[in-house]
Amino acid sequence: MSFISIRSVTKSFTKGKTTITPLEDLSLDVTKGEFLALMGPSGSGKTTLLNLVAGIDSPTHGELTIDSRNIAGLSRAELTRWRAKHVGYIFQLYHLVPILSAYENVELPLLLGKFSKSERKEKIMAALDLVGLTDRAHHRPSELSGGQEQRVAIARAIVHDPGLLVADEPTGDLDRESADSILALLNQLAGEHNKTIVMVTHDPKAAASAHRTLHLEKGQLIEQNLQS
Amino acid sequence: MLPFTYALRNLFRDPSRLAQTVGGSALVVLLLIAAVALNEGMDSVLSASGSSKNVILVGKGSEESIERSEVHLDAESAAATSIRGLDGRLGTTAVSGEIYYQAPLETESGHKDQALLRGVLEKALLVHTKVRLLEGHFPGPGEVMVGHLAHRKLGVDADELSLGMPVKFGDSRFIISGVFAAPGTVLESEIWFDRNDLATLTQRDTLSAIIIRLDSAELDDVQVFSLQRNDLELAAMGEDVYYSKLGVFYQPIKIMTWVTAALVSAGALFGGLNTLYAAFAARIQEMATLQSIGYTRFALLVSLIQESLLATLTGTLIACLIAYFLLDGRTVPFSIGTFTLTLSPQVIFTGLITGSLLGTIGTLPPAFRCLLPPLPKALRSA
Amino acid sequence: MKLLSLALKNLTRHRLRSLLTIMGVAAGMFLYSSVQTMQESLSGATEMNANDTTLVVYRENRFCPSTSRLPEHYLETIKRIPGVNEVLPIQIVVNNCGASLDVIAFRGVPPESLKQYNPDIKIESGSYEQFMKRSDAALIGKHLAQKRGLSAGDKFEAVGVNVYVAGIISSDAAQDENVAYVHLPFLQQASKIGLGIVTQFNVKVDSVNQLDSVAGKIDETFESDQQPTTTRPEKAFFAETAKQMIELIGFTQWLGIGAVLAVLGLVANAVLLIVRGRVKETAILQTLGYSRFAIAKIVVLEGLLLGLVGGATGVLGALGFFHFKAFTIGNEGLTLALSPSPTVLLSGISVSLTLGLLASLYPAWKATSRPLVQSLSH
Repeated sequence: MSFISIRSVTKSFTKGKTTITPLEDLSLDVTKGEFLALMGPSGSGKTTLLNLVAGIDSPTHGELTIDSRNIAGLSRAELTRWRAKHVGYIFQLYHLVPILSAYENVELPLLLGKFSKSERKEKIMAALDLVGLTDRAHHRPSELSGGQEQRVAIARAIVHDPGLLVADEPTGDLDRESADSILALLNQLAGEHNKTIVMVTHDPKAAASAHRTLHLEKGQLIEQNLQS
Repeated sequence: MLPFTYALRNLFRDPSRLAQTVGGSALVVLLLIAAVALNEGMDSVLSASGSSKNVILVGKGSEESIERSEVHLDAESAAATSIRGLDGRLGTTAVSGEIYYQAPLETESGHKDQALLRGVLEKALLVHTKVRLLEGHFPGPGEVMVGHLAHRKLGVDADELSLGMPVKFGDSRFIISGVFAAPGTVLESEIWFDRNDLATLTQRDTLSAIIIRLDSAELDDVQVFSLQRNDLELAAMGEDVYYSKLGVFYQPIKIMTWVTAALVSAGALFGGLNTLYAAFAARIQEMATLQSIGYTRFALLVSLIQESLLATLTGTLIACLIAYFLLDGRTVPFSIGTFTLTLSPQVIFTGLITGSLLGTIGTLPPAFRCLLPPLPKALRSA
Repeated sequence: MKLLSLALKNLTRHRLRSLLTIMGVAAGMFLYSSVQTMQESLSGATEMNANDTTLVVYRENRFCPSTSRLPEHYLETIKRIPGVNEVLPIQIVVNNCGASLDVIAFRGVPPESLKQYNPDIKIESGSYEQFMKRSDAALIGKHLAQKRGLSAGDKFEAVGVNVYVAGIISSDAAQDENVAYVHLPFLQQASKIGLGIVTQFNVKVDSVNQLDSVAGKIDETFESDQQPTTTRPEKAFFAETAKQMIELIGFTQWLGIGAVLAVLGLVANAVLLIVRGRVKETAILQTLGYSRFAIAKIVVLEGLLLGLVGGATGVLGALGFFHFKAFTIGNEGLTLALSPSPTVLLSGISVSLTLGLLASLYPAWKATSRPLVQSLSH
């Protein structure tokens, strides 16, 4: 049974007088614990696909099943609740809240659940430990480097133990060294912690560190590259 | 729900925006408090001045203004004897014929200004039951009694109208024999003369009005009297009705006050909305990120409102403090008397409601704009 | 000109912000123009000019018309004083002496003298003959008629006086447009003052330099009489009598200043927000070749436009409001019509333009003061 099952999914929207269809009749399976990379030129629909999988957008037609739940027909409110439990999102520009410390940023997903203060502390420190930033817990984003910020963002994305991680150009704004350590971290999360990761990237090196790479062009899957 | 510290810290993100929101809401609340206090002050002094137990007899056609009224002297004794059930004390019926006059009065220092003069006899105290002598005695010939707020109406210091000081009406000199209080009424701004003195001074052989205090009698009984004695050409009305009618004249000035408050508030509001729209627009991406984590738009809205309320209620507090130090207890002279601005519970409550509304309803339009866009688009906005 | 079209496009891009700012400016300028209208109307009534040849003879030490009772026979004595051209006895009955917006004033004059004394009076509707014919006839000033919705032929009751509207009049003399002229004997009886008593005499002198000497002579004549008089030029009389009204209007000056400050702050805030939101765009324009001065000009133009549109809306709104509502303030029997004038329009527009300019100066400077590289990476 696939962790992510996409069946004949189409996404279209109208912009003024024109109708744009970034994805047309797309089908795809992703197994649990797989690290998948999506590549393609701009306008290919890779970010649209990512948003659908992350539950940030809904398909116009088709089925989208994640961890045995069909999320295609959920309302905005239901999707919000689903995301809080099942998804961690990693952005290219980190999107940390500037007025909160690293600790407080990582805490945000846990406040949506019913955890006591001590339970939260335990989980947050565990997440920060995993990304190697326990000594920076009380620093604000402005006091961290780009690489460190992205690691805080990853800690935030995993602290509530979601099954799925979604990453939109996670290394796009980092230098080579930081990028490599982030990719190693993602691999570790997929391999050791069985997280399913879907990543959009422009960087062939980043794609190389994933288990499988899919190429999209004009809303269609055209090529698959399998790595070990 | 988002933690409260998030809302609190967001306030200090942009100190100039915070200053503007606090200052703007302080201004709006202060204006509203001032307008309400002014309204209330005017209304309460007018309503307190007239008693429902008193009936005024004026010359027919002069119901709107006692100054122009002419009542024959005979009417006083006629009313006292013909109407049954009037109040009285020690054999004297509570029927007071009075002369009302507005004329310039000069104080010792040479300051001259329009004053409210009332010519009375001692039985006036039977009718104006709120009047209490603070010091001295009722005026005899050559003497006057001043209300303790009369100095505000004349625009002089209180000691110029204290016991023993002289005042001049035209060429005639009078000594202040007493100071009285009549809390919350327009009477406190008046200067009371012996009726015969005032009659001579103003060359009147008629009264302005007769004020009657009822016991078991009713307004109808007085009206019947005025109809029976058609020759006297009298009109009867309740004293409270007379004063409430006067309130209608001041409606336009009240409207002017409210319109000013509304216009300046509108300016402040529009400026505040502009600032809020800009401030929230800069946070669309952040709001979208929080939504992607799993926070509902309702939770975000609550946090935004918390932020605004903190600012507007701080502004409200500042406004109340300013109002307390600058406005509370201030006496404002107007045509027929002086009223006091009071920060009554009602006034404070109005201020609080306004501040709360500013923080809640005022935040909604910019907040909606910030939270409504679809997530994918919002995540990309810089 | 292309800078102007750029500025305009910028403003229409953020329609809501521009609209809010314009409405705020309109509100502020409405207040300012209202205050200006009041101030102007007042100075028109109290400041002397070369055409003023009227004196008002009033009871000494009295202000409210019901307290000024002069014997009508003074008329003959006054007429004989050298320098006196014409004398008109007037009995005034008013519904309220305190400063108020809802004042009804009746002026009782000898009907045959009215036209002769005041030839500027124009009959807008109805007729002078009708006025002469009926003893209870009244000529209503057009301001008063508009306020009360009166036309020729109506019956009108106020202050205990019942009149028949014989005509609606207009005149250059401001007082005329707010009052109801009735027959003197009729008013003396209807108000129960009694025949033979009047409130005041309006005296026309031969030339403006004789005002003071004639006034002095009149007061001297009646000094030791039962009803001594105080005689002053009409405008001075207004200034000294309507003290409460003058105080009230004087106070509104502060409101005018407050309104101006509020508008300044509002436009400055709006333009600052505009500038802050366009840092990158401004930098791009600069790299394209627009000078710092050109950028500053665009910002200033935006401020000017906001000030102009908002100001025009507010000023015209106020003028229209006063024109259609015909407000009159009364005090001690004197009335002041609050009428808009072209001066108020001009001053309002120029003030809002100036405010728009001043408010944009700091933001314009701020827009171009950052190093280019910094702005591009914003």
